[in-house]
Amino acid sequence: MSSSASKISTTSVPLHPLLIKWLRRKRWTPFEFQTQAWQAYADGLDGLVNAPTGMGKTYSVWLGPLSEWLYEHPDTSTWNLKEPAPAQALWITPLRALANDTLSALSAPVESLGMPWTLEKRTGDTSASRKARQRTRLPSTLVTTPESLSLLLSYDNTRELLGSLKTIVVDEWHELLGNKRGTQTELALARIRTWLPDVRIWGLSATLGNLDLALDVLTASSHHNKTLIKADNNKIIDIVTLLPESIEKFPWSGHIGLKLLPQVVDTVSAAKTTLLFTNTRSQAELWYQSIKNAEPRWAKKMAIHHGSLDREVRETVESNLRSGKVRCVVCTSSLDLGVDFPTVDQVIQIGSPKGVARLLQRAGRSGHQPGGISRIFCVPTNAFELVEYSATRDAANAGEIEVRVPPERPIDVLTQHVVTLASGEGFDSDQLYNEVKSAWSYRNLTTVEWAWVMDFVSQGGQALRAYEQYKKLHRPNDRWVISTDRLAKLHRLNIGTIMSDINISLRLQGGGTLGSIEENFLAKMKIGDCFIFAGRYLELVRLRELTATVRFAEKPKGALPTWGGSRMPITSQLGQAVRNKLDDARRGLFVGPEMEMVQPILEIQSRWSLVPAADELLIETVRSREGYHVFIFPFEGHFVHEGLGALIAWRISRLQPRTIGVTMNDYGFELLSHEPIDLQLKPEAWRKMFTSDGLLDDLIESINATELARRQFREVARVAGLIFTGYPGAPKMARQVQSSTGLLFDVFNKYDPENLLLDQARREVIERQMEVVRLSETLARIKTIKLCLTPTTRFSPLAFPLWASRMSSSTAHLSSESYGDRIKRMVAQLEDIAEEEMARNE
Amino acid sequence: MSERLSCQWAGENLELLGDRAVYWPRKETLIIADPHFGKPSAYRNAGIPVPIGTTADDLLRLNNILLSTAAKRLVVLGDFFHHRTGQCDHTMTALAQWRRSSTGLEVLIVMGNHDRSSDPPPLEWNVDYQRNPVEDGPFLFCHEPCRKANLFVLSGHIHPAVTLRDTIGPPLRVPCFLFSEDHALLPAFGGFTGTATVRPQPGDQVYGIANGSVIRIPSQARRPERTGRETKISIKFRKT
Repeated sequence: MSSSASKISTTSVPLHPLLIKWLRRKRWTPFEFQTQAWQAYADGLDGLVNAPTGMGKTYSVWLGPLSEWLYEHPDTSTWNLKEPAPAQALWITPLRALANDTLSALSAPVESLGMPWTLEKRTGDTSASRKARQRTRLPSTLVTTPESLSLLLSYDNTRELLGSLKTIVVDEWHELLGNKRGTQTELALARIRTWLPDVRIWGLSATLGNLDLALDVLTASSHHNKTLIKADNNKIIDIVTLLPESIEKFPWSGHIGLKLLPQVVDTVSAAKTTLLFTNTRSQAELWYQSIKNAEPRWAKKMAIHHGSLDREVRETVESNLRSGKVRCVVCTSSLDLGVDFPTVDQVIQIGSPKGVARLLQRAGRSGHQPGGISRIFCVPTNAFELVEYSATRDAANAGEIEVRVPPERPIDVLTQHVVTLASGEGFDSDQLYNEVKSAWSYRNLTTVEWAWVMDFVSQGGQALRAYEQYKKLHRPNDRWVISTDRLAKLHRLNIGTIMSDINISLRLQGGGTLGSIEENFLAKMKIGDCFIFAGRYLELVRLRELTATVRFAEKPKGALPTWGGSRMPITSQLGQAVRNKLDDARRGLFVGPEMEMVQPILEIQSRWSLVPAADELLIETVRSREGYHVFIFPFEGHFVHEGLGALIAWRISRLQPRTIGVTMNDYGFELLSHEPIDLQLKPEAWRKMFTSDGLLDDLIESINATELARRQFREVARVAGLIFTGYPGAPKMARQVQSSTGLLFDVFNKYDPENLLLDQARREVIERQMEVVRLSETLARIKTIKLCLTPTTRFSPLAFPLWASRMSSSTAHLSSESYGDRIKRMVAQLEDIAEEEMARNE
Repeated sequence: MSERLSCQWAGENLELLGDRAVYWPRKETLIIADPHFGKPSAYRNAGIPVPIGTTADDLLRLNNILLSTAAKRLVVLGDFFHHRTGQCDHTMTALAQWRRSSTGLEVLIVMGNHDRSSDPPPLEWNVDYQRNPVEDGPFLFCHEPCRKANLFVLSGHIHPAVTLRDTIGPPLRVPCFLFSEDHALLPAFGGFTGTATVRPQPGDQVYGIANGSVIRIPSQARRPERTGRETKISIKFRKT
């Protein structure tokens, strides 16, 4: 909303006069998209509003329901704050960190008009007593997360509590659309629509390449008409790269990135408030520490914000940011979303932007004054990120924005949902099947799949048919319900673990919690190891169950371990843009400061190997002490390269039995073998390796060989409730049933191979991890372009980062052999070594 | 590569079996650790539908090695049962049946931490169920690793595994026996049990189990990791 003194004509704004008065008092002139949204709401439509942050999209959907209620309750003398309106609206937000800001934004008009509405939140952070109270009576408006909403459905009086509900709003829908939390939201919406067919569904979304689909998914089962409302966004976004003095100072790989610290400090000091985004939490810690060391006088005006920090710490940071008390907040995607911080003058991005939409959204966090320019400063951490920035700018100018695609009927989410409903009021199987099918993601759910899910959740499926003690769900009065309260309780502990890793709470020796940290991060450490958290050096004292005790380390030591969240690949839009940039470079065109800067490195690439044109696939072959390397560069993001690498390695090893290691990054992948790969210099032979024929079969085979499905099963098992992840303070009853998902995977594989959850794990590897659609598009693209087989004598600038990442990580690579074959080979090697040892000793 | 590997410890000949057991020929004794019987049932009891079959397979495996070694005595180094909630009819019937079919066999169970939250085996199983470590010849049978002067300790509890690596693929984890100067860790016998990667000390001898075979792992093949990924545990010894 822009603030100006111009008069609002009451006739043109489709809101109740009291709200128009309120807008006038605030000196806000509605944007056109807001007026459209209010009108659409008044007309009884469902809809999706697409607007950047800072333009008042919250009010575009919020004032509609308020206005309607005001028309229905015109007599203010009947308003009684002691008897507030029963449940009117549900506001679903993806991040519980956003709940507070949302709550205060929603409260503003309600309080100002003295409406008898209560507004509360219900998230993982809400106290148990308040949650219990909410289970007997809901506030007029409840702000909640998908997980907490799902949890609410597991109580048997929820239908009654929601009886008066008029509206559901899903905030930041783009953030949920592409993942299982979105699927969970779809299922919850389907359930509520069954109860209340007239409830209106509205969504808010940042810009996506597929907004129409986003609207369809959100409103799939609604009988209302629907509309997509887009804000006119002519805000100028300026992408500026901070450049080093000379390119020689730049690593070809890695994320060391502190070389530009002086420039970053200068940039921060030139503005009042800066948001500095990093891609990982460890990077955030590193930059926070470094800027503080460089400018000690800012120590009190610097803050760090990421998802692992304690809620109170985050909230303090957010409120300081709002009131302009901080100069610089170092953050991760934890501040990507949510209501606006008008005080933010500029944004800095450290490292790869990974995608066009992401960089634009981050940029949009600054410059909110009307006509303001959003400026984002990009800080490359290696030479090739210069190309990425330049490419992102091109793609943004051309309007090439990413799409997000919802998961296709995930069985694990459905399994969880069915048990959730059985813990609540129960269900009729046929009716629920139809309800589930009305959710977009399950529109293709077959009756066979449904029967499998019902069989699995009730009796444990085929593998437990003969075992009569197992009855998780039963049907006492024609409705399926959970068989014991204890099982319902255990199930509730497990709702809300979608996508999240197992979290360990960090407790300071002598008292006080600092936040939480992923288990797989702590698992890498031993007692006495130090790490940085929230800008402080901590030493691990004890790790017991789900609590890690730490103390402040006496003197900083040890490296900064990396942790979670850096797995996001570059998008295909960005990949395409990077290939176009290299194509320019190939033709000697180096336009813009970034490309000029990176020119010397691309010239080395060109001398030692070649810079691929847009219609070329670069395949470098080189021999080293380690063996025979092949480097292939499709520039499609590391997920696609993981799939492509596994596929090609498997196809080669089928022709020539051997072990091939695969390492990948966002630009390409490396194949490494101890023996020569005979195809090395024959383009026709390589062409065959890239065929789309038999793609799915070959991929499945190669996955079985590489055990990726076993890894993916971790998430599937957690969502489907096969493991208890527990959380700090979880009841002890879950202890004897905590185990590794790898073990469960093996047991299911051996004794229940037809289990659909195993199938799903394999499907997810193919569809989501390897992005099979993108992968087959990549193969189709490769079919039409030239394969440039290029022998090199040393690792080229493009190849070097792949080599370096293999050397530094034990997980970024795969092997083409099956587990059994590898064991056999390694055992044979071991016997050789053992014999040598014996011979030496004799 | 062999399904059995003979070695000498504490002056005794021992045979390490690929089925995760040790045979001590002089005393005709088969030694296993951590079968965790009833673990799948405990899971089912908590609403997790672990498929049927692991208990039967474990018992089959146990019978096979009892037959092939012709052992007269079975020693279990603790965690015979997983948890009280797993001691349901299904499990107990299967175990009772197994016990009836092995009447000639003497059975000694040294209690483990999981046995403490389980009920003791029924009297009619005729099992010597010991709360404390049991001495036999040069050996001390116990559940948790410990040290005792002049005795060689055989223990379980840890479920040891070792990581193997080569230059090409990702690291591989296999269950193992870990022997040192005065104690040995046995791998977990149960088919539905996890493992923990151990950090062998210099001088330790590790025997890995891969595809049912036992293989001595030379120290060269256990190169230290560059970036530790799995939980590594250092073995703590209890003072006795």
